[in-house]
Amino acid sequence: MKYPVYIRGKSLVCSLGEDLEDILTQVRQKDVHVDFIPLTLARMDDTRPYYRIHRNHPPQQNLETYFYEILFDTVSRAIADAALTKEDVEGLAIFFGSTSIDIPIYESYYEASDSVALDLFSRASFGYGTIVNETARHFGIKGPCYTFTTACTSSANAFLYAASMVEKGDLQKALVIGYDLFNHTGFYGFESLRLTARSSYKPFDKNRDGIIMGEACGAVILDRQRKTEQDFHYLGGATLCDNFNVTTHAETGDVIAAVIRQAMQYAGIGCDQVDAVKAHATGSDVNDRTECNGLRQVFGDRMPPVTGLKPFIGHTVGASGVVELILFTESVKRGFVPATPGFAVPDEELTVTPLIEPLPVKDGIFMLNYFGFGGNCTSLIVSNRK
Amino acid sequence: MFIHNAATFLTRPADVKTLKEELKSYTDVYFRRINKFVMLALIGAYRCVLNQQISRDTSIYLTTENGNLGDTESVLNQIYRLHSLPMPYNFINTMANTASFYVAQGLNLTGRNISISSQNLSFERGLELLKTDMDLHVVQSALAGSVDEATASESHFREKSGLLHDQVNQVDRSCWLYLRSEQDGAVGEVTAIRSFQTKQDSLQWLETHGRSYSRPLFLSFGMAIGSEEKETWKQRIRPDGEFDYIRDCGYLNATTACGVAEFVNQFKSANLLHVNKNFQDQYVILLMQCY
Repeated sequence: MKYPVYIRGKSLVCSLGEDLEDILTQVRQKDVHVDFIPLTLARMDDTRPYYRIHRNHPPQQNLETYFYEILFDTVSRAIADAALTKEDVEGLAIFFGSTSIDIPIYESYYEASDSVALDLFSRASFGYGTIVNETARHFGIKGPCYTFTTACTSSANAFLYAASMVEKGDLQKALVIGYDLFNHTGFYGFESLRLTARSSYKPFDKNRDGIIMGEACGAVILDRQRKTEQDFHYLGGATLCDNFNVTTHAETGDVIAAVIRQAMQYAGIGCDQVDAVKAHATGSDVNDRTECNGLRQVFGDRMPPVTGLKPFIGHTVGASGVVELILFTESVKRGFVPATPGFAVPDEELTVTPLIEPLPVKDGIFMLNYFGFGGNCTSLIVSNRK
Repeated sequence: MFIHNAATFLTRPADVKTLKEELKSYTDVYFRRINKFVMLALIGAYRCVLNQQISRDTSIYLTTENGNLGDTESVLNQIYRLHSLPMPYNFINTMANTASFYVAQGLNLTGRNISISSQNLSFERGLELLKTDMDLHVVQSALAGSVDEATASESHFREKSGLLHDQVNQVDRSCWLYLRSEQDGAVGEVTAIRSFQTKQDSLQWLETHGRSYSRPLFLSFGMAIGSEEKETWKQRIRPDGEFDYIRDCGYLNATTACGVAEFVNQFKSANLLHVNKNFQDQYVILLMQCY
């Protein structure tokens, strides 16, 4: 027997703010705010765009405190939104997905110290599982904790496994977190790979010139019981590995097509039942082409409406799974599928044109795709159709 | 979940050159600019599939406590001390799933590829995910491994274990199981893996289910279980023996995966009950049987 899985509560902090109504108003209006960060550390006289979280106090004062403040505040709001009791919270399992994990904290220690990094590393952390265990301790959560480190699919996979365990009956409720905070390792790392855009985000556009990173934290509560009639439910998902190359998928998009087909098969739906697709749409030349090839293999000439959300909040890497899921599902609840700001010139090679205006919608079945380094491909299917 | 093979690679902290030579003895595939963590993952996984017919849709569950240590240090050094952009391959290698990717590429696998961690219970959590996938019939065969470099930090080790750095041997390790949903040709099986919020809950569960244990039953423990607590467990379970893989391996920071894999390779017609906990005193009980 499979149990239903509902997204019962959610919260988000990103470059658009932390008030969901305010965030979604900006999404509907295609408002975009990008910061520019100088490449000072690498002694380069230039800047790169980045979608930063803007909170009241500067993050550099005490980064560890700031890091956990954002995380705990986001989780707190998700728990409140789901209206969980103290007992509910105690019984939660936590699924945490991140690319950088606690690298921002390490970096702040490293920067302030001249001792050997390895020792610092180990002193700063008891390992990858530290953050999620601190979260459990802070909230009195006693269920099992899982930290997913599958690059840009990290929190999408965290969601997939949390949903699977609730569906199977192993768990009643689960907290799924996607969190990546600004860090120099990622910022300069993507620059070293020459993947960063120079000015504005243009996924799927003929003139796209790369990704723009962003920081965000999103949390959702999954439950067998829905809180309201509007709650989205999980229909299915899949994840696979394209072992072509560590940074890029095979351009044919074969594995991307395979993972989409598996997810639809698990969800028990056909191509014509997908009402819209949230593409990964990183804006890098090869990734967009590969993703479109995969989509075309599956949908052919009957492509559903496609959108990319990164121009709103940046590529939030491992956090993107949960963060983009919240942005997308909450937009649909308010009657629209978001457009893709920044898209202007269709690329005849891609033959996929994302939405340039918000698409009015009441309910439906929606596909959310995520792809990342290490060959990771994950596809999730959710619905708010009763 | 049926165990079809098991492999351990445990060594005193080894240099990259030594590991490269070891890796060469299993494969001719050339892996460009991989680091120590990736090499460890590859060596363990290649050992585990020796003489096995492994299907292309096999999934990978790589579990780790710390992930890679060396390349993160290199990247931070390049950015903060040398004031340059990091080398691209150093940056790519900072991500733990780079290792599981190369395992997939080396063995030409396209199934699921998951890298996860869970303070002191990483391998157990990996097996829980695999069990979920097998129960839902989305995975039929998998490699589940535990990979970690010996921690280089004295202070970290002291904090974690309560022991002085020079009192114990530390290890670079890569221990793997090859598991399938089919029993045909299996050498054993994972009969139960259960999480508990407290020690009391786990003891209660064992007492309820204890009568059905097959014998002989051996008891083993994770690193965080102290000697006093071990005695309590022994009194309650009354095993036919203790399997002290940590002492037998000669290394303190061996993990559950090492214990299970060693047990599979050393025992026939025997059962293992492994008790482990994290630093919040949450327990995981793993029961397995060797045919």
